[in-house]
Amino acid sequence: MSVKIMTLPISKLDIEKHYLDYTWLISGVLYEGGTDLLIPELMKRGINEAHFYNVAGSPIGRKAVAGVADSFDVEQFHVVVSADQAENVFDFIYRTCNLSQPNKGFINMNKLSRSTQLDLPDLNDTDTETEEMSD
Amino acid sequence: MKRSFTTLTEATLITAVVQSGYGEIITDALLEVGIQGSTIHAAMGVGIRERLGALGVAVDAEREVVTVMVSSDEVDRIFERIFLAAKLDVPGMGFMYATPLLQAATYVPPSILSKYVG
Repeated sequence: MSVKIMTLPISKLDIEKHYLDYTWLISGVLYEGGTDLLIPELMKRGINEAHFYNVAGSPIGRKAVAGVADSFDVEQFHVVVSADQAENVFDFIYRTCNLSQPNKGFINMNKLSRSTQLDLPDLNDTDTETEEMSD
Repeated sequence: MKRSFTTLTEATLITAVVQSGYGEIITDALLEVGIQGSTIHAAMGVGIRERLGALGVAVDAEREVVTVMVSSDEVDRIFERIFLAAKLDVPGMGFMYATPLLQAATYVPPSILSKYVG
């Protein structure tokens, strides 16, 4: 007598469902900082895909001694936005960061071939692990 | 000595913004599939910290950013590899994107260059 053990097929993770192919990347440099204020404003508008870091550099016309910038607040930021919102967000950043003023910084925008979303964990979900709660 | 300049086209830059500590996990995963030359640097992220208000100070906002330039033919495979290594299907773990590059340049060993240049 033989016993047949039934097994269920192993489900394969379809990760392509996480991909977006209609996003743009807005990048910019702010010579006097301010990305820490810009990003919460973007988050209020539902944009979570942003990060920034400090860089060295000087705007055109400002003195730099031996390649060392005189400001340590220079920040490079990147924001991923959907294609239909890209123009509006670009305009919003331009106005929020006063980029019409000289030596404030610059921004540019590029089309992305694909990207993923940053889904934030639900604060009411008590099962969320500490690692996942990290920023 | 005559100097030559080789440019690469059909290249894509993959950038992943991940939790601290995952940079090395990603580079190890890339090495397993033969991808070398990825770069890791630190950055500030955003997310749950801002939602928590005053309690947010207890949340680590530090992120690691991994950038790697790959052939456009291989984007599918490598994008998936990084996605899985960084556990990006879990909420709050991070995000990634791929930027098509118009042109790129680096040192190309003569043995490889001779295969493409007659």
